[in-house]
Amino acid sequence: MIYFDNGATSFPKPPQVASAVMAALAAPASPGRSGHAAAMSAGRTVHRARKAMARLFGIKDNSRLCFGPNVTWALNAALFGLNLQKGDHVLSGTLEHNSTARPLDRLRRERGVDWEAVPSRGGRMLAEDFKSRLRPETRLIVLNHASNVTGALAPAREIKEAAGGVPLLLDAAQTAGSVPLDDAGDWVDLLAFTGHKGLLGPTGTGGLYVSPEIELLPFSVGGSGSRSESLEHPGFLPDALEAGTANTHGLAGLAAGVEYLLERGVPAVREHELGLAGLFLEKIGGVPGVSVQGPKLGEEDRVAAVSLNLAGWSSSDLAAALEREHGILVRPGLHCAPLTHRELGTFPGGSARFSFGPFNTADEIAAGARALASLAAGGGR
Amino acid sequence: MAGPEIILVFASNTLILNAEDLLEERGLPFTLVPVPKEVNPNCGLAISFVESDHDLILPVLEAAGLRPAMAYRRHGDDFSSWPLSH
Repeated sequence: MIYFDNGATSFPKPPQVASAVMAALAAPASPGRSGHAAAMSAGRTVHRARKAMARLFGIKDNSRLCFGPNVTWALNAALFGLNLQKGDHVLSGTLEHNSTARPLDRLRRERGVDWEAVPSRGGRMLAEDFKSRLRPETRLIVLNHASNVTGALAPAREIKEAAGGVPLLLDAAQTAGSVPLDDAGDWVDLLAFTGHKGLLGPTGTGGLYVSPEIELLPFSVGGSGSRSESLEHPGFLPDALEAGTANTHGLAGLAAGVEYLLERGVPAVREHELGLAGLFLEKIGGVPGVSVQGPKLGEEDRVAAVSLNLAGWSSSDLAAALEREHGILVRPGLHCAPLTHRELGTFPGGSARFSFGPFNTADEIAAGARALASLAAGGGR
Repeated sequence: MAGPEIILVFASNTLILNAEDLLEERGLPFTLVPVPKEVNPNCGLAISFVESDHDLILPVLEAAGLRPAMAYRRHGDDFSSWPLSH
């Protein structure tokens, strides 16, 4: 099997991730819920993940880093926690995932929030296009840091600098662990991430960093292990956003994944992944009938997801043939990003996405390109 | 523990673990204990140290912005509130 679906979930994980999950599963107790040694140990496991994430993002106060099950949870926690009301204006890109677009659509329908999606220019988001749409009532900018369809990287810092103090909610689903964000704590107001992609952790892990200037209303309340005497859920972080027992087992794996990244270095991972994407684009350059959606060969403001279509093939047939004939796993369809595919003109059929990770090799890239050429030449039908 | 013991309760488990990391890093004498249910209903942990060490411990926590929510003095089975402005 050749795995080119790292944009969905990274594979393989560093071996220490599975070891850490197994070790956590083999130990009793819930973090922060008792004072015995096993509970202390579980608490330290979660804390290790928190410290690793804070280091990765350059966050000074790790208690503002809250864990949840995934980036969708984080985006919902932010979007609903800001208590946006009728007339509040929110800007987003058009290259957003449904994890952002659906909560925004709901806020628009149910609360009368004025959501405006800034169009891209040829699949690129530009800071000036956000700046020109700012209004006195603009409460938030939401931005997909990199398109999960095309891999196009948005100029997030430029957009933040152009925002005139409007908070930025950055969806780092496709960039955390793949693009250096070690200064994010200095300029990102709300940073949503998931553990199972570039951070190399298990599914069911993710989180939200909340800068000191932002106050969120928790949309889920319950047990926190703190202020137990009160029916009112604590307002301090991370407890405010971490109602219920944490996913200690998953977070043990996330800590191991992030510690691996910190040791290898995110810039080194980025160089590796950009190299693979470039090599793939180079090798498929001469394959007849291939159209690449998004950044082309030589464009480096991207992550290592390459979406393409092959003339005469639906994206799903192409993905099925790649798996059946060549053992190559890619993701076809809309990638939960219909707005992006409408923008690209590939709606509703979508595209086939090849997304590379830190453990893919040049040989696998060559095999992927050969497989595509073979299918383009009529193989596999 | 010799002599009266001071117990620092923090608002969250995260703060207590940050305090543990910091005090360990500095090699300061303390133990992590369950929050005594006699005085505080929180489920989590607390920092405990001998009262005479307070001038070693408190400034380090203060400098890192780790301010306890409550502090107690334990002498045998007797607990009393302990002012943090020592």
